[in-house]
Amino acid sequence: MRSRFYLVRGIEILIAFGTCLLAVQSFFSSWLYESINMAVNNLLIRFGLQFIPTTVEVDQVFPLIVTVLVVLVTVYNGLLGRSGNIMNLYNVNIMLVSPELLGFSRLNWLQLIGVPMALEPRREASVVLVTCLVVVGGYTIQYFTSRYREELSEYGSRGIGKEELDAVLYNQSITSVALMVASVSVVVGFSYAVPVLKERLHAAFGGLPSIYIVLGVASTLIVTFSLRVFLRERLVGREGAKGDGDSPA
Amino acid sequence: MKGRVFSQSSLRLLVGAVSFITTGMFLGNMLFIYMGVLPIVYVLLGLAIPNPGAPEVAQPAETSTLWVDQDVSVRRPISVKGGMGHVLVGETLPPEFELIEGSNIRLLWKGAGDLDTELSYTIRCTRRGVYAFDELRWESGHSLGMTSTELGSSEVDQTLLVRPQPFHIRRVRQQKTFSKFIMPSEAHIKMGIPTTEYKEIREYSFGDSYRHINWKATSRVASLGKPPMVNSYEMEGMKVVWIFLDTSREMALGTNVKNGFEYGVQAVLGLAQFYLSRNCRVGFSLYDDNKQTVNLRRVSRTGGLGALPDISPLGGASGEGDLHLYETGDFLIPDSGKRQLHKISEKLLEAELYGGVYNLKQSIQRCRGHIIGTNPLFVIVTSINERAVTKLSEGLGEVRRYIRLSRKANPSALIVHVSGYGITAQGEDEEAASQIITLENRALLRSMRGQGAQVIHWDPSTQHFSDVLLSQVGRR
Repeated sequence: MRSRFYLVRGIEILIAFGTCLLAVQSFFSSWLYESINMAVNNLLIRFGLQFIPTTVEVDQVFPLIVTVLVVLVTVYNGLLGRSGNIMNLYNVNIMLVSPELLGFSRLNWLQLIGVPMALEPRREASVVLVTCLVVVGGYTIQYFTSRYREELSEYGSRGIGKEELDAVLYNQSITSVALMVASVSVVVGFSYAVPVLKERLHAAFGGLPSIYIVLGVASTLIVTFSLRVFLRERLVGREGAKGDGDSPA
Repeated sequence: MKGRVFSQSSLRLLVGAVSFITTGMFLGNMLFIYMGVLPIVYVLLGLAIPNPGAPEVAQPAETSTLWVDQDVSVRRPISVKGGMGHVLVGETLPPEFELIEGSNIRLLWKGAGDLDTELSYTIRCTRRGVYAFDELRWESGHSLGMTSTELGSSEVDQTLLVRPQPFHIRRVRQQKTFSKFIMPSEAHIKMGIPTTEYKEIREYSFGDSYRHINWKATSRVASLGKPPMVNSYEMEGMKVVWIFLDTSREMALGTNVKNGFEYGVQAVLGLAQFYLSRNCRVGFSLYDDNKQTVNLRRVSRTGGLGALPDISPLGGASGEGDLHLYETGDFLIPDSGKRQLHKISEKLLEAELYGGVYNLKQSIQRCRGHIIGTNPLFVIVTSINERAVTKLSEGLGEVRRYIRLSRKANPSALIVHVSGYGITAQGEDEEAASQIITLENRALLRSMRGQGAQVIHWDPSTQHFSDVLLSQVGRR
């Protein structure tokens, strides 16, 4: 019995299913869904195709249809377990989450492009944050697991037994989930710490808007980190090429 | 070990994170920034966990000796310390080895604690030789695949000495039987100084020393009215046997593992053991009748016996390769005892097809200094066919120069004809063809017998060597 293998696949499907449901729920709570719902209703009324009597019932049926479709696509992609499919799933989820997420922007980009619409958030910021973190975290776990599985399949072709492969995959998945839980905790803690830090920084820097300080520090860190990674890759690549050149024919 | 390099997965994730943060900064949306921070935190936490360290292997016994086709269990205790992730350990097996049980490659998970395990498997070596196991290769991968896999090898110092399995030839001890298996002429002497080497037990005959009476055996047969039984011992003498093993392409019939030459090696070892146990002094040489003629006379003028020939035996110019062949020596001078058996065994370990430098005639000539005056028995292990018969006849002609023919006209040489056709035959048609060729070769074997040689026909695919030799036993 490959119990560990099926356990890992179960975890993967659970993550895919859970992230998908959260994404769908987020979509139904967004201004975009409300707009689409209204537009569909108006079209049905205009062309006399309103076989569903009231708007209230459309509100119930439409999410159901969308949910079933998305869940089916999710399960199909999740069952295949390839990194490409995981990417598709992630794209769908991000697309569903984005409308609600955009509602928390300080910059109303719809008004910038001339659409007179207010992006009003319908749910609490903390709820949306957890939803987004679960979606991104689930994707990250699945992405690494699928890549890892591909790497292990290469080992399988080299004669490694399935039991050993399953054991390694299982341990990797557990490690990945544990690490993601820790990461989400850190980010959630960070999100709660930001307002406090904001006030402290505001006071410390003599009224300078804290967003500038945070963005400045964050940008500096990111640029430094990216530069370090870039240079390191270049240097290691050059050393490798030099080593290959020196090797005797 | 190289520095750690980010894997493609990590870089892709980081790029995604940066794009989220950039979007968040542009829109003034903290949720986007938090979404971008999450993968970065995940990768940073992941990178804090290093790859597993290099596996340490407990050193096994340096040299192990085993027989061909013998199973051997290999155990490599492995210890991995530090880091977390998967470790692939494996050992490359020479193609001559067959994996019987277990696996020579393992994938292990190195958790938070130290990992102590072992790589164990059972192998069978199908060919003689010296095989060195000098490294255990490993691959150490990050627990989440965030960094590139590190490759390396740990030192293992083990040598497997695979010896050919000799065919144990036993003496027939029944009194009513006698062996037609030829011994050196000097072995037939009745007079001489008896050694301490036990030969057989027989009935007392006039002149036997009372000291040699075996009282236990005598008491067993006394009630039957038989005379006393005496222990008989080998007589001391100059019994010399020269064994020549053919390395030419005629012996190559069969697979890489099971071919005429490999069976020939086993036969040589069995014969050497047999004659050495009979107090004979056994010499050994490889030859190859397909090698071109070398002018040995010029050699003896310039450098004496055994000097380096001026023409390459392989057809090329003389060089370091030839010198090497000479230095390693292509024959062993006759000697007795276990030490000689060990030397022959070592020689056979290194012996390869096409390894003979000279043809049979030249090989005998090169050993001439050690042959003259010893009246030896020549044993030639070869495969007789139409192509080889002329050279073999020349060799037998050379043999006769050193043999003092007795009144009984004992054979001057023993030829063990290893028939390789049966080894290669697969299926009924090929077996039938092999039998036809074997029948056709009978005429060649007869012609060899006509030249004073005793020929033993041996088909390794159907007969054990001991059975072939037992067929040489007759009744009085």
